[in-house]
Amino acid sequence: MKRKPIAAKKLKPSDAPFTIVNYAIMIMLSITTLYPFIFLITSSFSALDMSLGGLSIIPRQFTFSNYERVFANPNVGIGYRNTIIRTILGTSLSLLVTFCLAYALSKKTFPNRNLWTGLVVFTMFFSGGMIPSYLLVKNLKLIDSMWALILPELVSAYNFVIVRNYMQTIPQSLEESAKIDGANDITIMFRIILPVCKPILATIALWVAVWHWNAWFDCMVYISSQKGQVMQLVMRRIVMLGSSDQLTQMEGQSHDFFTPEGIKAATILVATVPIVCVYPFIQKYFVKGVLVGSLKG
Amino acid sequence: MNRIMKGAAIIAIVACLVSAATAADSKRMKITVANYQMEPTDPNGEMLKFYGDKFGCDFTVVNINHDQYHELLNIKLSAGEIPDLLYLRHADTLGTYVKQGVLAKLSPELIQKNAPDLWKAITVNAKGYMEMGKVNGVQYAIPAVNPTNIFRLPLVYRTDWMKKLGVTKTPETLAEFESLMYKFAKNDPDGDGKADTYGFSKDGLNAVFGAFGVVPFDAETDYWMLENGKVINDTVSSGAKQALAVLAKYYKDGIIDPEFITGENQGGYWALSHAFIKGRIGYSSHGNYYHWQTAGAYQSPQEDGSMVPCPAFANGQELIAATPTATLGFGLPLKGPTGKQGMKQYNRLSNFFCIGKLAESDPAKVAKILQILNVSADPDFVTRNSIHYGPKDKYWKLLDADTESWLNIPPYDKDSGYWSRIGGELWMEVPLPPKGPREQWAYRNNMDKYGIESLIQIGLPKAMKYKAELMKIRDEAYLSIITGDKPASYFDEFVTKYMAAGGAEVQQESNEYYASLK
Amino acid sequence: MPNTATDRSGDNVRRTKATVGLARRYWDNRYLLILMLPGLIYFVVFKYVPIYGLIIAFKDYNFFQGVWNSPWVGLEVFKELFKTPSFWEVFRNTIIISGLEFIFGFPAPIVFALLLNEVVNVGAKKAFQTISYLPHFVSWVILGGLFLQFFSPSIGPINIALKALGAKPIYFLADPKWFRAVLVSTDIWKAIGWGSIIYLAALSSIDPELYEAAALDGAGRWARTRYITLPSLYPVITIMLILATGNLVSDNFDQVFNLYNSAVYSVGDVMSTYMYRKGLEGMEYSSAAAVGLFNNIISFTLVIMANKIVKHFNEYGIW
Repeated sequence: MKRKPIAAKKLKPSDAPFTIVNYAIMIMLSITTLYPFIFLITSSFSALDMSLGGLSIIPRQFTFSNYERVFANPNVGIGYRNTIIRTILGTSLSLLVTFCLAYALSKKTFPNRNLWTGLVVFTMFFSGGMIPSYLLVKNLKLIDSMWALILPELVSAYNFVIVRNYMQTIPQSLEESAKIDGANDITIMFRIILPVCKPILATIALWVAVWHWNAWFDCMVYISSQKGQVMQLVMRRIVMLGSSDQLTQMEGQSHDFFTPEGIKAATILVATVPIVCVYPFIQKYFVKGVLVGSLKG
Repeated sequence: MNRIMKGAAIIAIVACLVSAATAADSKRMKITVANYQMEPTDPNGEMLKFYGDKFGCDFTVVNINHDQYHELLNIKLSAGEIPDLLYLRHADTLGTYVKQGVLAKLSPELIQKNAPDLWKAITVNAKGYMEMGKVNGVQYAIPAVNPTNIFRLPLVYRTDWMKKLGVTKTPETLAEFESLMYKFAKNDPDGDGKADTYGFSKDGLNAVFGAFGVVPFDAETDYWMLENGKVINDTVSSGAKQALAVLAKYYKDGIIDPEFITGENQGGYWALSHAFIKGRIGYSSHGNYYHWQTAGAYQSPQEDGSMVPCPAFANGQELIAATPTATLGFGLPLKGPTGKQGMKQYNRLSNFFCIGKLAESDPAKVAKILQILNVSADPDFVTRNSIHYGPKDKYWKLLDADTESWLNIPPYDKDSGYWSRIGGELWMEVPLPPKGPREQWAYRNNMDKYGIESLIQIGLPKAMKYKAELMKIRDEAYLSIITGDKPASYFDEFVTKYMAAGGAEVQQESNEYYASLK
Repeated sequence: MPNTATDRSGDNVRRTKATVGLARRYWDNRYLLILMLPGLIYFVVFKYVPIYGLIIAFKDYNFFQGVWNSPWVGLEVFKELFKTPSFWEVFRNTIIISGLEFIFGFPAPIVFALLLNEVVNVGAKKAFQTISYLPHFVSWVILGGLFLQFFSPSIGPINIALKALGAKPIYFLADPKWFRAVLVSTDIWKAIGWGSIIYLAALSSIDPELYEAAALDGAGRWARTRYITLPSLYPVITIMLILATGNLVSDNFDQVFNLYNSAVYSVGDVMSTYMYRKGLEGMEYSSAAAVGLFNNIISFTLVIMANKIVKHFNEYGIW
């Protein structure tokens, strides 16, 4: 059979059934995964409780007032600012430290490499729990500081293992030429390994960023001032208000004691949409043939 | 990156300045407070300043998020940070905190002397509740008693369905109830020609249990009662056994919604009964009385003395939105064949207010804290509302003094957490009789009559220890009897199993505790 | 460890004492040591300094006395725990549910990534990818309400379809025969897109020329997947597999808590939900710590075993 190289990318008749089935699977999955989000969006524009619309996604009494209420809340601005700072600062530092540590421990020449790796992995399973951590953060005078949200979970052992594993699949030949030129390990890491690791670092960056964005418990424990609250905590307060759990704490007589579903949905979306939008930017690092490019370059 | 670092540095500096400012004027007594809050309190909050000057002390509110309150409080306690005035969100935890030695000893005399209004409010309006703050005979806590939990759960009927079926009044006995429920399920009350209606669903079970004088099947709380002079759990009572037999019959006959296990609510606001709103069932007791308020159910006074009809709320609102011709009506708790008549009422005991161990050695401080708590029970409504919601006419206005109606002034009407920011945490819940128009409406509908309360509302150690296990055994047995997987006679076997799994120990403990109160 | 130090140090190591040799080897790797240092300090300070908290599991923890001064009770907490009748039931449920989630949920994102890889249209591919990871951002509280309606015997689309086909409706959320299937399928659905990201990242390092060459050789779609795509995913699949074994004794509290009810306790009540109902908001520190320790010892053992087994097949394990 005669075929141009490009033909591989084109649809062949024999591929048609597979492609159709594949697209069908993708579309079905997309509909179901998109649904909860659409439901939230509809709910956020609905004046009445959407749970009574069955699974419908047409707003019950269209309104913008839910968003007006959310953005009128002064805590939302504070929350956004803190969350953005912790996410950017936390993710950058985490990536840097994880990358360096993983690189050092990915080298076969590094003494006691397995011991060091083991010590890191051990922390994935065993930790002292909340109380000693609180005492530690308190003794380090980090209470009410942004660092209390960044340092205690700076490096995840899980992410470390994955980055290190990825580095071990990089062909040795890549570094050897640089070694011959007399470059030291630090130079090699940044010049040669870093570009090759882009996809895995992008993945880890996404994981860490999403983790930071969604974290609230640490803020609840370590930050007590209003000015230090993160978005997720602000959101939780609004969303949990008047849940049946708080029944025993009858707060006043006003109906305002609970958050209507529309405002809940608007709050959730305001707190979630920015981080969801990060992914398309990460995707561009998943370019085919990163490794190949570096090998040739 | 640089800008972000600067931002972080600025935040840190601001935080330092704020804490430095509050550290000034160290001569006054310092009182730290941990109470329910919606948002963190500003250390310079207006109310903290005002009451600080009034009582000659400096308040520091420990910011502890409401949800996960105990977990966060415990972390702080572990670090030696014991607040001087602390509230226990779950009344069940009192015993544990006493055992751990973090609470100061109080005495009835001390409370009576320093907080006379509070003492009176609790002992007069909630007899026996002050004693709930005792552990092993020593008063450690002041109970926060919910003023509106004097109202039991409502019994709500679709009166338009009743009319269609020729029933003119809401049931008063179990027999009348039964006949109506069979009609709801069998006689096509919505007139659509389909057999798609039922009598009731999950929350309707309470009506039948109530007709036998018991609350045996609550998801979170154990109810205790006296039977033949002994304290027993409602779960193992003879009333529960009889009620289960009735329910099993209803289920078999298709009177109970077969989807009752997952409940009447299907997401959204918890108090909504989707099954009721959508016309699947004709009776419910989901939520509280005010979740069934229809437009104009009562009149609310306005500032200018005029009256306006109340708006519809929750189920009352959604039912009419779904079916404009629908009407609903309240009934009395049912009288059962054994002459019992009742309906579940939530525990009135909400929380406990305690004084931290570190303050115990300073009687002046203890006295001062009690004096502060006393403000919440002040005879003057404006005074006691101000300690929680801020100064009158700045944050709220009084609409009508007689019914104690008030309204937040904008923008605070849309800012539910403002009182936490300014320091409205020197407040506690006090069981003074509610006077609001909504509560008057509840009285008119007899919501305060025939409520079934639990004899014991605090968490005793053994009860706490076995609770999860026992409730699991109970839930499995009850569901299998109702759905017919097991015959009604299985109840006795269940009781034996329940008692062996710790139920007997818990029962003995409860009897001992009850006897000690006398 | 075999001496793999660089040529320069080779002689030294043989000549001097072992400790000196070791110091020498560290000196030779001093740049790597510098790179490792920040991470090392982090783990020592934030993970190893507070690790003494583990002893809470062997104490009757008292807030007032703190971790060190609380009285020792030895294995009492564990004994008490193992004696609880429900403990083994919830432990069994946890393992069965996690096991099913492992068996079906582990390959799912890989298959999804492979299928996505076959979508030629770049725009469609990116769209599918982004949409598929949305559920990761929706909490179980919200999903719980939606699934309640979705799986409802009367109004849920599945049961409406079943009824249209003449079958009897199924009460998925209250039927012990179906409840685990609900947990597993909703878990996979929620995690599939998010879980596939790591594989998509790995796929991007494949040389496109390999595909072109294979196409020239007349290799079909299956052959390309079998001989090019999959082998290049082996390292990441291996490591994810090892790490996933550690989750075999953990459960998803938020998911179970928002979907279960007392009718399915016998199959759906798991460790975390049981502990939640048992201890109010962490009032039971010692038993919570004991459960945690018990789980973690099992997880750690499983991961080490998985790592050992994997070593027989390839070199991509943790050690």
